[in-house]
Amino acid sequence: MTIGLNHFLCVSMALFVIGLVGLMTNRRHLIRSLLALEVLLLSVHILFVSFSAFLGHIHGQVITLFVLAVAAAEAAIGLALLVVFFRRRQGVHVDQMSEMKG
Amino acid sequence: MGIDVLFYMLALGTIGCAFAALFMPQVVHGILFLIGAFFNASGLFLLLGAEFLAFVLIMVYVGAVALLFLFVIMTLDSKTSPILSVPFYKKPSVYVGVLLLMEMTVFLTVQGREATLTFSSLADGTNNIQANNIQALGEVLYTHYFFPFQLVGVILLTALVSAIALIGGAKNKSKQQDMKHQRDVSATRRLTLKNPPLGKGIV
Repeated sequence: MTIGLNHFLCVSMALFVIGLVGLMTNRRHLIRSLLALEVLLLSVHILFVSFSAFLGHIHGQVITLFVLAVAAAEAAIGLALLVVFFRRRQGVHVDQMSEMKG
Repeated sequence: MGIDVLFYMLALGTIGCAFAALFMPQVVHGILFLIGAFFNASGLFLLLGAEFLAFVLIMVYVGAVALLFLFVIMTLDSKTSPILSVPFYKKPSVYVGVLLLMEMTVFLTVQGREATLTFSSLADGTNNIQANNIQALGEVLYTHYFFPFQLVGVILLTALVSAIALIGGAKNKSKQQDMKHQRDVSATRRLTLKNPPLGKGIV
């Protein structure tokens, strides 16, 4: 049995589910949430590249390149926000983010 | 056959490393497994013929993003926290995940029959991806996608400026020259004349 598009889609699907469950389970911990976001983005990358390869269009890979850059920017800003939050509260738990409450 | 075995190894490595990255008790170990997941995924990209993206994935994620995560974790010194304080069957997210997995599996198996594409389109050159992946990517990127390409540069610059402003710009510790303060100084504030008596110092 040769490797088809469905195999790559299965890998992407499994990664997406793992990332989503990780995001929901580790909701309290900000660093883990960012890690789960990276895994979700990796699944999207695999999806784009596999469709690009199997449909024969290079455009999927260009979009992946853009998503890669935006993901790097997102990680940098997210971690900077994390550092600022840690300086204020001495912890990275989302439970403590209750300043805006009612 | 060799390609099949390679694919299964890389796929299992990616999925296993991604799972371990999110559910290890120590976050540092999780980042190590995230790096492993990215390496395996770049192997998958190589299988798909996207060489440039495979190496860019390693360079950007392993070289920059994972390192950034490591720096932040080492700086913050966050304590180890148990991931699952309640047993996993009491977590609603696990049920959502299982449900989503089942849905996607059903969707893939139902839809997959008529929409199956094979690797052969890569090999015999019937597609419009050229043999040289980087050249093909660059020809599209610098012509058709030129404006989005520039926009991505602006996004990265914004991220750079905002990250520096968030972390370093809060308090000003740098030594700077204050011109007005310097100009307004009078001699009496800087210089006092003393006349010490003989044999004693200035107390």
